[in-house]
Amino acid sequence: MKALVGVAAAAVIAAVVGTSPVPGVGLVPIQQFEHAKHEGVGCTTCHANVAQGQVYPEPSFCAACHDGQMQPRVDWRPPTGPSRANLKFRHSVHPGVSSCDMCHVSGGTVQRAVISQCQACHGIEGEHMDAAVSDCSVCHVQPPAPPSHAFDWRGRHAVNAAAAPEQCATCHVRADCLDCHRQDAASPAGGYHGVDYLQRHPAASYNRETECSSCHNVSQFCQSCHRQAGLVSAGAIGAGYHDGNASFIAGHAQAARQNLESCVACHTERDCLRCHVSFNPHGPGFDPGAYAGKNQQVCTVCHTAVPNPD
Amino acid sequence: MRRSVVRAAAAVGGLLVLAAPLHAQGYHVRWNTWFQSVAYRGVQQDSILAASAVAVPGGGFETPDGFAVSCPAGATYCGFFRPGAEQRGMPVVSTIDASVWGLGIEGLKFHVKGRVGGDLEDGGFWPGVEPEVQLIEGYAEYVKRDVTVQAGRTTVFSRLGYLGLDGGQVSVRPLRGKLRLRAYGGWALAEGAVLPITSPELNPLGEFRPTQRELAFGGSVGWNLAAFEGRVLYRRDFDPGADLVSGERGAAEAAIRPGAGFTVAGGVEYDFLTGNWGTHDVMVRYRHPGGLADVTVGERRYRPYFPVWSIWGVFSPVGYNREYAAAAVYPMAGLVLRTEGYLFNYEDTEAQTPLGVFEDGGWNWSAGGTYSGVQNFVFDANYRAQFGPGASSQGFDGRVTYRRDLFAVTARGGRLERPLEYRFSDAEVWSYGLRVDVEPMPGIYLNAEAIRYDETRERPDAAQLDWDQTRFSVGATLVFGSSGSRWRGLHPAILRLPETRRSR
Repeated sequence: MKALVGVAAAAVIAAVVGTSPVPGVGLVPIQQFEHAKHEGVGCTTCHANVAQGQVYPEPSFCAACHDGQMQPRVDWRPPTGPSRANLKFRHSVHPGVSSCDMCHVSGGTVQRAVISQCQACHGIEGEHMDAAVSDCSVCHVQPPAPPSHAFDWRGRHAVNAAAAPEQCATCHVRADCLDCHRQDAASPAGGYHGVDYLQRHPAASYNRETECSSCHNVSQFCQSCHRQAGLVSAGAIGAGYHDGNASFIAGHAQAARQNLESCVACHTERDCLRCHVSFNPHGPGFDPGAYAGKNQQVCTVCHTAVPNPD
Repeated sequence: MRRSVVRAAAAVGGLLVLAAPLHAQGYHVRWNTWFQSVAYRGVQQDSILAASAVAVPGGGFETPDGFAVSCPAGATYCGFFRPGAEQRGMPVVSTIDASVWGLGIEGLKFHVKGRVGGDLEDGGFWPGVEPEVQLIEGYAEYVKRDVTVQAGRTTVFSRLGYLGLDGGQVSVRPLRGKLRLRAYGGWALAEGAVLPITSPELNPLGEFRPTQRELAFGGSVGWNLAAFEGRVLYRRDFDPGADLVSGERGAAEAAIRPGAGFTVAGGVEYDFLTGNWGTHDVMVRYRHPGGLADVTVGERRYRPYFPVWSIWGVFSPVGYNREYAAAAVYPMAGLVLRTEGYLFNYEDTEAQTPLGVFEDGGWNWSAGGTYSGVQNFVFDANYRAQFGPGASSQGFDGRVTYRRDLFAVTARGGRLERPLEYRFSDAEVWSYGLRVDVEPMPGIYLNAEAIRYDETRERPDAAQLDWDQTRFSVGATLVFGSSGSRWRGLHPAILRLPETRRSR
């Protein structure tokens, strides 16, 4: 008896709610649309305007069935505002994809686009997010630089980039690296080095702000400019560029061993060999056996008898 | 004037613009062209008879017209430098970076990055623009699941340097990418250039370089886990002309992310051929999870590397050790304050002598701030000072940028003091400039800049000179592809972020 009363009460309440003129009362909130429950409804019944960029259906489409008579009413509104994803996919430019199933069905369930299907058509066979081997920009707009890149990042990124290149590859492709790591001879001020660097580069080089040879070939880049400016050795060692220090040649060994890459920017090998065929240039860390064991060629520039590697 | 350079750049770029969409399902092209006009004033070597040199009060000699001269004991002639004539370079460089795919074979892509450049002034003053046409990369890439193969002119990025190769590389990523294997080999390009070491552009004097192109081989084994990445690398260079090994190096590196905003990263290099440890580094970084601060401390040892076919390695170049720290705080919306500094000291050269006293260490410190809290404006100011063996400098600069949608104008100014190494007592440069950036339509970026430099180089003799000039530059970048510009489609709020503007 109690059960019958309960059923009757529920039926009355349901009838009242179902015919309620007050909007929203008794609507079932929708958190996650279940495509499986709507198997009998074709895709285009709800997603009719997808080619016009309207991915989500109008709420009125739902009400065609969920009218409170055939099916319970539902409370659903399409999300508003810009997409949270950085996809730039548009259905309208994929006319060759004739069936929704081709991209949106995997394992028998309807879901967001199956990435491997996108990649298969776009000729990208690598893993998703393996940016080193694919073009992210095919499907994604690239995001702005993250906070980690906020200040002087270009000057300090080397350790991170060397130790964890996959992190860089999340956003960057190899062409981005080559924009700086292969010098662009005509890059105007404000590139990698920033404005005024032409004026500042002697001090920056001597003070090891960066190592020039990491990106520049000193023979091609530094030496050719220094030659035009009259800043290369012209043969008169001791009376030339270092005229601010009268005894430079006599005590230059310390400066040379500290900053040999700077010497090389102006001097050729023959400049140094003019004296050093007679004066021993070898210093700390020099192991003649190591050279002699694998490549004796450079030894023969000065030595007629090559050291025994043993 | 080398109009041929301009014509060649326009022809190649235009061809790509027209041809790429016709034949490939997918393509992406970035074509940028820079031009600038820069003046430089160097020095000119001269000499006089020692008998003509005039002794000056306080010691030393000079020419009758007041140039300080260097007169070696017993020499017939004394040498000196006069200020050189002003030289102007007008380099123009056009770089094209293009990828095409979807040519009928899944996973196949062609990529080319090439550059056409030259100096529009006849003097050939500007460096790095010879030869006029340079192929930076040009390879075919095939990707199949966990395997990537590249063949052609490609580049290998690693701790052991940026190696250009005419050859190929293979990378394999088994265990769902947790294990990374790479092998490469081919004819090497010279370090820091896109030319082979045998190119006359790199060796105009015909010194001790290999007579044939070096062969380079190498590989790496890496682990790529959630909180740990590690890698071991090996590279061997071979000189086929001499039939000798010309380089053999290895390296190891790792990054650990223990969580809570911390990252620890570092690595080390070893030269098997000379038996020397090379560059190593380690750093610890902390980023506040709420974005309030970013702090990095680290240590780095740098030791220059020279291939054994040159004589430079036997001169025993020593390394230097640097300790550094950097911090940035974000105290309020739109404001970042930053500072950075390092100390460095060279290792013992075992060559110190009282005949020449040289510094064996130095320091660098900088501080600055950026404020973007006022609508459409960005204010930025920086100060930097550095001191070390041979040179020092200090100076400040500032800029104000006003941006409205697709247009930006930046005014800037700065002052730099830079006593030049061994030549000038003091030199001072004031600079002030204006830059305009415009994006007239999606994927097209144009800019123009003019900077005025007022420079004074002080010396107590006639070699003192003033060197003032105005530099101009213009640039154009065209980005287009089958899927649109890389920036098209971003939310307008993101496009207004200062980071976005800078990274264009």
